[in-house]
Amino acid sequence: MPKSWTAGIVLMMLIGGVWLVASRVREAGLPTWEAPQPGYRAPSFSLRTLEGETVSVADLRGRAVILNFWATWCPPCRAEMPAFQRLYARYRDRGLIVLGVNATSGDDLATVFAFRHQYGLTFPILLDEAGQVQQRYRVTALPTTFFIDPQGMIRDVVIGGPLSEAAIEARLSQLLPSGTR
Amino acid sequence: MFPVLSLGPLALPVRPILLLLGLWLGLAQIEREGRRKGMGATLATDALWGLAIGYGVGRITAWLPYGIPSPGDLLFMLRPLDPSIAPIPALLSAAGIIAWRWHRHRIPWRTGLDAMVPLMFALVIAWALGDWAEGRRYGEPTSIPFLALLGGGERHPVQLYEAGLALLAWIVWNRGRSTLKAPGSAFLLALMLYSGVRLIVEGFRAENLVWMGFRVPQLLAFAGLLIGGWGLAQTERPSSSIPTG
Repeated sequence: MPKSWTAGIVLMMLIGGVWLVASRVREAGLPTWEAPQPGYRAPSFSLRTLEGETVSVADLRGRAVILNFWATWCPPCRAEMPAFQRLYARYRDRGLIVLGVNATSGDDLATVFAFRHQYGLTFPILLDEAGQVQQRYRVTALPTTFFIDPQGMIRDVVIGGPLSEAAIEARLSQLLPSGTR
Repeated sequence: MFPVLSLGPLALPVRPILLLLGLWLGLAQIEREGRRKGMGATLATDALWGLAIGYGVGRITAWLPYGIPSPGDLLFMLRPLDPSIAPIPALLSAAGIIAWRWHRHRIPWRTGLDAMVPLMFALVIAWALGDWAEGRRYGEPTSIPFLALLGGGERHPVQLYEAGLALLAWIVWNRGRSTLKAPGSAFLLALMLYSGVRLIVEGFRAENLVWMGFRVPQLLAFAGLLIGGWGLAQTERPSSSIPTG
């Protein structure tokens, strides 16, 4: 091996060692911005539920939130609803809230009522009547599901479906402070 | 960022497309290398088998703690939209399959490792660009002029650093390997260069695993740098008589 190679290897190791020490972790403050992407604060909104109450995402700090955009006419949305319901029932007491945001601008309110009854859904169904929340979350396909941690940060986004119960639970374990075990 | 490319009615996930492009580019390089060494496409097919099985094992293992309730879930687990993968089972099974196939095809393992390097670099670049597209594995907060708006703030575009430096390392490797003589040296040089890339890049990455103030991926990369450098010095010693198989 040429001497220049040996010198290069030694130099690389020395620089590497210096950089390793120089780049040790330091605390840093970080402003957080809203955007519908992992790592950003979930965009704020307020929507009316089927019961007429108003739910605001900002009020849900401290809880793990699954935000699922859906419609009754969408087959994968229908297929994944029972899994959301089962997980909501299982983890509600540990801080989980599931919000089903219905794309009401392209759906029928009577069908939404019947759907909830048929599937036995107990989590809040929000009505996005003007489609403004879908716009804010840049929803281009249904279903789309956002996983939001107790600090209000989006941790994951799944476009499309149906999501299986195992797939949702795997993501949920990252959100709940004590995991899903 | 741009995780999904919308083309009319199609919503194409960018990350899997980039990974497939990286895979294609890497396998094409391996095949060319294999033909040069008179092995035909064997090296490339062995690598493809290893990667396919490693991917499946990694995906299934990532889901195992949560149970596998139905065949429908199995289909979901194997679809490329979801990035969840258990890296250690994936790497071990891929390495096991490739080693077994090399043994079957009588391919000397050092020669095989040398030939695998372009695939490694191509996948690293594709992975980093996929992270950029999806806004994952972002950098530390910064105020540099070429910052990226990611992860809730102004941050180092660390995924682009990774892709750029890996490309540079690939070019350096491609030039440097012709001066190396012993089988396995090209792989050790690649290990050194790749470790160097990770050592630099992980210094800018946010949310790293930290041990005693040090970022764990950087410690692993430093170990890779030492192993690669030491191994290279050993294999390329004038008196070295490393067997070719």
